[in-house]
Amino acid sequence: MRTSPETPATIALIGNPNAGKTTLFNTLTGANQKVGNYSGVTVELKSGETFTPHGKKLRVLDLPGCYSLRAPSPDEKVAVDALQGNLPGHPKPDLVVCVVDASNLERHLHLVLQVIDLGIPTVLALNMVDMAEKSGLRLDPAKLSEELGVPVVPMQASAGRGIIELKQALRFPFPTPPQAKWAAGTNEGDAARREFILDLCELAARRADAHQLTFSDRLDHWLLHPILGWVVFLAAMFTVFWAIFSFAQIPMGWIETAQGGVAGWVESLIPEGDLRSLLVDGVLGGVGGVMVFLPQILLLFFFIGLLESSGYMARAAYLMDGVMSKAGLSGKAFLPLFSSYACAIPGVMATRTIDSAKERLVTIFVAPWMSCSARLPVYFLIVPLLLHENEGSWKQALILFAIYALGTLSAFGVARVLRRKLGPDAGNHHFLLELPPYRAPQWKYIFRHVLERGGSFVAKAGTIILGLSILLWALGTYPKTDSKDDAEALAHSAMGRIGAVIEPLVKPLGFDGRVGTAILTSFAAREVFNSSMAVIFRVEAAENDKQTRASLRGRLAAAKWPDGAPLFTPLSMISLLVFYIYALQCLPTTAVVAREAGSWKWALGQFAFMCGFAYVSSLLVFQGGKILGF
Amino acid sequence: MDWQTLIASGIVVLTLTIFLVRLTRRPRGRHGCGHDCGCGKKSIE
Repeated sequence: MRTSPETPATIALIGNPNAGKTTLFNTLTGANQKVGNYSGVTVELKSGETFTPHGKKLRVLDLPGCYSLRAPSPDEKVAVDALQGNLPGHPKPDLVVCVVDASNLERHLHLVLQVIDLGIPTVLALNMVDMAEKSGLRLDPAKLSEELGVPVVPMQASAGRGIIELKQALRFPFPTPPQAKWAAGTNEGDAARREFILDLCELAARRADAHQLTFSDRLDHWLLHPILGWVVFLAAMFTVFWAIFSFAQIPMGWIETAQGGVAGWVESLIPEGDLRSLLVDGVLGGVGGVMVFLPQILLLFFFIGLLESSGYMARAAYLMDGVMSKAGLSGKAFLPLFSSYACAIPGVMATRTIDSAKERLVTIFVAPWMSCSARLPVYFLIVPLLLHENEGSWKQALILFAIYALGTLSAFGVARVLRRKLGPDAGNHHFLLELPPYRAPQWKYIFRHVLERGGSFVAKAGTIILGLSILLWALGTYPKTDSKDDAEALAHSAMGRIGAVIEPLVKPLGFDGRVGTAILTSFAAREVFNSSMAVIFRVEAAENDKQTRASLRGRLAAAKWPDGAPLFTPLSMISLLVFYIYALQCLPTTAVVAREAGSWKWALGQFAFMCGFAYVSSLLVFQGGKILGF
Repeated sequence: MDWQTLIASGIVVLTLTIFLVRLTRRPRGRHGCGHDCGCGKKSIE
């Protein structure tokens, strides 16, 4: 509760997953939190500020979605603790706004009644009334308000409708909470609530034709079909990968041309020397080698946003439930694992929606094997080299698909073994998934989110990768030798010496010391591999970056072992790809896993296991391939 | 040592110093995941 007149009152937004809490939170506070037409997008508490119509400041908390106040999963526990004022740094809310999906009142009202019984002033935000009315429901907000004893505000948060009315309902003094009708936390209370809700829906949410199929129902008939559903799912996934490979070529060309222009300008401005080499080979070669992948990464995030926002992601989770169960996981693990294709960090955090602690730990453990976007630059460099062709073809898309499939299937295999090892759960956990109605994507949020992710990538390229590129250039340049031969100069440099030290370790995988050094540098972030290779193999920025990358591929194709044998054979390239599929080269992920699993042992065990697995797999591929005569 | 080598070495030393300072300084209390993973999580206050 408020401690002083200056402290703003706190209002909490609570509701079932996918009721539109985050959309309402963004509209109220002007924030830009991620929203999706999928449950479990909000995995922890967020806060912002809004003002009443009379200018009084209010603190708004967006709680993770939960079905009940007696729920076992970690994100639901956060919601319960926040309501009871048990979260450090967060006072007990002065008012609760229960956000409900008007077309699913029967299910959503159960939580509302539990909140009302807590005795906190409550306002009911009857969200998505447009969808409910379209589906044939006749809503009676006045009747609902009368029966529940709390103000009810019909609204459509995504279009900003009903926001003014909701703010009116948040005026001081807050509405007095009605008397608790049932004892909290008892089975008798739950049964009585269910009966009350059925009666209430008969009165206040009547369906003109209860058996009429909605548009979503009709679409689901095909999209959830045991055969056709899978065809659509696989086609959708393949389209995403194909688009990332082909559509992105156009903006990639623009970036490359701009980069080549800058390199040419620097060369015309500064005579030959260390500074010019640092700027052209170190900075432009290093940062440019990573920046060029920005369009592909933006496309990946765009497609994830599109699938979430349209409602298809939930269907994909439903379809995947059967597959997941073979790995000892449930459909609830689909979103965390799918998110990990973009970045393992949000994926690991999204595991909070999983009820079973053991299933959650297993999902966290295998999430980094879902190939994240940071691996893409490495794949884009190596795959065309493997096929001896330029970037952008269906064959490359197919190999990319196979790389993702290998990571995913390996993750499922390990999950299955680990799940068995951890044993069964103490209690029963059921897979409960919201299948939201199909909606037109919320373009504003998708594009804002894509820009935010793009901004993060550019910031990373402009800081960590820039710094590492400069240091790598220095390692490859100093100490200097009088020799004019590039190879001799590199061998004399610090980089050449480090490479020589680690070469015995990576040689059995088919790599020399130079590739080993590039792999070593990419333990900070995987995409650094490309810039390291550009610096190590002395690739100067060309007219445009496509030429630069082609020239790097040319250098790699021409690179030889001291005995004259080619360094990059199909076998060594596959070995390199396999290493990048499995190695956990992302320190932020390890830190987040330690936090989410509550144990550094678990995080370090995961790091050691994945790196060891990557090494052994690469070794088996290369040595096994050699034995078989490849 | 010519002027280009001098400036390039200065940039390298400055970069190394920034990295070392960032690695050794005491971590601040972080809200959110604290990294630029783009997970969209913002500071609570």
